[in-house]
Amino acid sequence: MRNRNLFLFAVLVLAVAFAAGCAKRGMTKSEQDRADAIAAKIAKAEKMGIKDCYPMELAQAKTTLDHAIHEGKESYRDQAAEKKAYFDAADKAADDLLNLIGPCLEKMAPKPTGPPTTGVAPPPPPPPPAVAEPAPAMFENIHFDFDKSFIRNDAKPTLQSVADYMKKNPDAKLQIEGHCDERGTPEYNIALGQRRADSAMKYLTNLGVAGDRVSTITYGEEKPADPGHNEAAWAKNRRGVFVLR
Amino acid sequence: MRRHWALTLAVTLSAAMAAGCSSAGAMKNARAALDNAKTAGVQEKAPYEYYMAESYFRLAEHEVAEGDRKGAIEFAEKSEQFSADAVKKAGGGAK
Repeated sequence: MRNRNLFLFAVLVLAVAFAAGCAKRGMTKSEQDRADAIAAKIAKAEKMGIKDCYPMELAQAKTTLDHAIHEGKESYRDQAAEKKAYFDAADKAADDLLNLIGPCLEKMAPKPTGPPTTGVAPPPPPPPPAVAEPAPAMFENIHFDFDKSFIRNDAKPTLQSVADYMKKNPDAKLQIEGHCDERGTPEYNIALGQRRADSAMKYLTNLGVAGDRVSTITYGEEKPADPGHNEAAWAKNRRGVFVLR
Repeated sequence: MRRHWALTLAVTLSAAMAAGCSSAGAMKNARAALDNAKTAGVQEKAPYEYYMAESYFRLAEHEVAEGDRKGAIEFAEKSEQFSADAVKKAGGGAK
């Protein structure tokens, strides 16, 4: 009987030792939600290629979040203010990371090069229609890679034809619309659409078109050319549109 | 008989604490792996993995300082893994 009691006592002591030394308490729902939100920000930045541009900042953001989650689970640090501070730090690191997406994309985007020196330039486009209605888009749209704003090779002939037209029609004014596919937040896509329009405008000015004759506007994801929800539709929607004004 | 049980209890407790919560070994391994990665010059070739390893090691040190052995082990092991990943990605080191 005594042995049995001692055995039970030993088991009890062991259980208490583990509970005191290593026990965890789950995070509250709000802490879990916050952790998920921060993780989503980091994932978004990572998806945008931040790993190649700012690996140290990405690592810091990830480990800071991991630390916050760890602290959130620790029962003997069950102090709301302290845990909040850890999550605040993780949130700030994630926000800082998101703010680096723009510079990162700029860094990765190749500088526009001049028009091809070989090959035959496409024929000049027809003159603008003499109608009172708003001028329709008369050039082909150019398209962009996912989450990118650099000018692709397949867009360069179109931009060359736009530039040729603008040089031959010195009174013409052009507006470049930047559009995105539906992925990403509306806010992000507004900025991405602007970068696409700016990128096209910069290419045209490099070809000799006066900057004051060209304006840009972004529609983000608001005006899809194809309402589909698949890669083919998205590819059509990631575009730049040239509208004579 | 009572002495026998007390001894058994002390040994069991010590073993449990050593197995479950000791962080010294994990810290030592993590530091060695990080030093190895630095020596291999992975900062240029695998910067993300290197910074992950470094950041986790700092967290592990922080947890040691706070007496959180469980956390120290968790972060030290992650640091060690990222150091290994960095070396692997960098092709085994600087060439």
